[in-house]
Amino acid sequence: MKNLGRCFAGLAASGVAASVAEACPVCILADPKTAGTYLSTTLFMSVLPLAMIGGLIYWLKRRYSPPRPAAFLGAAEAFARDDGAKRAPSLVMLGSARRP
Amino acid sequence: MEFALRLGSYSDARRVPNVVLGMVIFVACEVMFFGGLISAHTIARASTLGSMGVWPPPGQPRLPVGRTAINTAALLASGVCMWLASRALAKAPKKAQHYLEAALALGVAFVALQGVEWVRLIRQGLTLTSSTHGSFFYLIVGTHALHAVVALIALGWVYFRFRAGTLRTDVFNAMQVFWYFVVLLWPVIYLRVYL
Repeated sequence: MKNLGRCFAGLAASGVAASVAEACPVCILADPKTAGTYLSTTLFMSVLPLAMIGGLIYWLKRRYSPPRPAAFLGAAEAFARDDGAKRAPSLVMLGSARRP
Repeated sequence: MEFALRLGSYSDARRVPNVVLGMVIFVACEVMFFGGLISAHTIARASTLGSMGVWPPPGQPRLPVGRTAINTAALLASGVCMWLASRALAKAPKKAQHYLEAALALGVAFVALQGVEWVRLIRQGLTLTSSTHGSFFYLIVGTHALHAVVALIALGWVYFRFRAGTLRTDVFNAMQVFWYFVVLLWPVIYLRVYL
């Protein structure tokens, strides 16, 4: 927590120092329209990879997630439904079931 | 409380083929690359508009917007043909073959016509070093053309594999991903660079 605070303080100090030093030629020296274009393209380039990665993960999860088994499926029904798939079996936890 | 266990298999879940996932990741990298180029072009254009008030800079030839619109339509049509080929691949292979041929022909037409326009622009004085406008134009459009040529070579290879009966579905799907990337990127470049 202490390190996080120090990180934020460092970032804030660098932001202030940059404006004092006029370190960014586009933000400080350019006309407002160019500075606005620069900021909007920076925002676009920052959001684009997040959107692509998020979209890819969402698509993969939505399309390729295994079918959800019925809740509280008993072991006997499970064996009956498992119609001898050739691949090696694996255990899937279904959830809890109370003994009657 | 007890847990009900089921002996099942993860084979129920459809897997993403490695070649398709690899192609998707590669396309994502290329999208970022072109995003950077188009962003740089946008900033340079805004800066020139701010200082000179006009874009393209005076003294530079104007880009052929009308003829390139026809090229754009040809490339989009090739994307449609690719989609139709994917739909017909399993059920109507002969139809799929015709659609693949059409996609290939339209792609070759796009690259050839773009080459003709380039030669015309170079003769008019727009070169890589003539101005910022020329530099960005040839860099962005040229990089897309390089991707289009590689996509055409790959599509040709897929077509011959299909004719030979040795084409795998996952390889075709990966080729589709790259083709759609090349096709859908071009209208963005056309709108940002030409218009």
